Amino acid sequence: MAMSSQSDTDSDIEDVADPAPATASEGGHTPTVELVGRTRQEEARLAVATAAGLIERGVSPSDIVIATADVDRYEDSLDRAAARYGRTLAIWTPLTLKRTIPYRLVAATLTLLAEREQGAVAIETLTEPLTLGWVPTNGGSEPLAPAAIHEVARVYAGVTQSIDEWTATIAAADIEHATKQDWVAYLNWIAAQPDAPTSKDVTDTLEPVCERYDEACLPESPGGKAVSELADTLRGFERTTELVTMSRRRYARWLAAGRADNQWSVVRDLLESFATSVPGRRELPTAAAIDVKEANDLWGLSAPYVIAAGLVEGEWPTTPASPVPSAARTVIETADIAGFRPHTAWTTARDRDQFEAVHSAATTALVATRHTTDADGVEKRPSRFLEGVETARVPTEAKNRLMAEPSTLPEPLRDCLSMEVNDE
Amino acid sequence: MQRTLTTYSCPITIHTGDPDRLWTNASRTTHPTTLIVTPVQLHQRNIETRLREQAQPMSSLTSRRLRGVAEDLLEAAGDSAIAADRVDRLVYLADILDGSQRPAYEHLGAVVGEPLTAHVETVEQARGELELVTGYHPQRMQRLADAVRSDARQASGPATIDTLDLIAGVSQLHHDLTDHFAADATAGSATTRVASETVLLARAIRELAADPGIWGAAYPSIERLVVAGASMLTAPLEDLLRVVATRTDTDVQLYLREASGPAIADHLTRTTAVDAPGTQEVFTWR
Repeated sequence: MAMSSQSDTDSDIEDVADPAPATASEGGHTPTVELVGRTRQEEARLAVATAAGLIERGVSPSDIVIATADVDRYEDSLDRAAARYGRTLAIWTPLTLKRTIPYRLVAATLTLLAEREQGAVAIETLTEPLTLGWVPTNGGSEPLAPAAIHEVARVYAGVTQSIDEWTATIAAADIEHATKQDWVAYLNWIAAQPDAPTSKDVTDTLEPVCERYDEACLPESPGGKAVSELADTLRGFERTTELVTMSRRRYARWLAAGRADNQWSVVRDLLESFATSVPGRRELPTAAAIDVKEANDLWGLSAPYVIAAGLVEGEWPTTPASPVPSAARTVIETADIAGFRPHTAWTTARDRDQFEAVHSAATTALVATRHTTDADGVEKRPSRFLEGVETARVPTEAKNRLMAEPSTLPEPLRDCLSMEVNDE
Repeated sequence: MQRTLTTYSCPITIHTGDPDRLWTNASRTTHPTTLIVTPVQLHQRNIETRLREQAQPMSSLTSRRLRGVAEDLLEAAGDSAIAADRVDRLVYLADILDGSQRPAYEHLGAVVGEPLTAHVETVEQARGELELVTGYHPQRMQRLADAVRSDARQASGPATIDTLDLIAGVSQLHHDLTDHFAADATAGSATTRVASETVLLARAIRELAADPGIWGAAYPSIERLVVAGASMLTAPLEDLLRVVATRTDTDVQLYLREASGPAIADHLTRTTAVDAPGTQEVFTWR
């Protein structure tokens, strides 16, 4: 094999046994400031107020990263805090695809077709695609007004019947002419979709639904809503159309292999499986925003200011869980069997790696935040990862000042700032 | 060039902690000379971001997912295949478990939950975890069984029986799953599809061990294989790295992470390769 400068055995072992010097030669870890909130919301406020304070004192938003083990847990409170301090966050996280309107529209359409397959369609199933923005696929019409949908939903609450019967019911119903026409067009569209769909039918049916939704409903600007919500919808639309194609391909393969019957319910389950296992990511990079990232995403990166949120036991690290019995896991962890190492789901090593990655990413200062009670008032203990780190804890008074007026950055952070300014 | 292993010699160069050597070694070359595999896909982008920030040339680097490396090697061996995903496996597993009379599955049900068909996702999770830990390699499973049995605290106790039943059950399931996909392939699918990324990798490892020349055929200009960013070194990945390091001229470098790294490195340097890497079997004990 090729020999590299590192490949002699001695230096391997040295490298392995003592990783510390590499870090020490760069001056060790950066100063760490600890901010403790009572609740998660207060913690999020402290995190964003810190970022806001740094920005007010001249730090660029792109030089600040908020990192946490599980962004989902913090997204709402960080968003609220950002609104309070008038800052924009770019939250990098797996897309909550199933909560996006475009995905829900396609899923609801498939559920409708799957129910039709069984014979009868309930009123809720029938109205759901309309509520989510189904638009006639042939023509320039608008989505049905919510009032027109609700009126029918209210009158026929509890009714479940075939599409033919629904068509007859609506035709005879005492509703406004234009509304009736829209309903009839919708029911005709449903009736026109093939039973026992082929794989081509999947895209022939769903792609026009997506296209019309794009033309008629997909917003181009956030309007009164949060930028992140628009990003969600746009990414959700993109990802949903990708998953429709993936579902079609997989369905084709399953049909060819005799693994599935020609049924809309199979397509619906496939789409649902893909949405669960590969939801895609939401990414919205803008220099004006403060990045919020999953701790694992920080590996290899660096930023002057890193705010590590959620340093409490049970969240960072989480409690390991696995279907493998704990006795077997314990044996693997302790028995030192050649060729055998524990799975990362069985230990807290992965969480610790992520904490270390966040710590080394910070070049000027690390701000570690945590909270002391959960929503039920139960105590949350500090993460074990903080034990080995020397931190400057910000006293309560300075903490409250920071939340009231971010530019009054607590002293340890002001010190970092002045050091950096002097350097330049 | 072949290199004989002794107990205290590890053919892989190991770095633990900050991956800064990765940045400093990148350069401008006509053909890529370093193949980087990052088990977390985003980490690949982080490497590129970092190099761009430093305005450093990076044409010496090229990257592949681990799955991609296995695909490349199999293609070079004239044995192209791709890996199925969890969505496929869940359907097949339900088929396999539904109506199977295998005693191994009865015992597995006692460990995971009965009926097994109602716990397909849990079963798949256990299969997946033990797949990465053992690779379903016979020697590894046997060593695990021996260790469980010799653990004085619990020998002959229910925990020992549960553990042995679990390994026996999921390795049987893994075998049946592999068979199901093979049956699909012979039924005339265009592409050979194997049960999982690990099955794909195991196959590539067997091909590579039989004919190390396929490495050079797949990666003619590559001098260095770098694996970076993972908190776990899975059994199949260890086997691949050992085969590449000992059977080809490629320099193999492993960048481990700060907390999990030292234990993995220590373990690697104290142990040797398994026999017949890439072999997958069913474990039975009763």
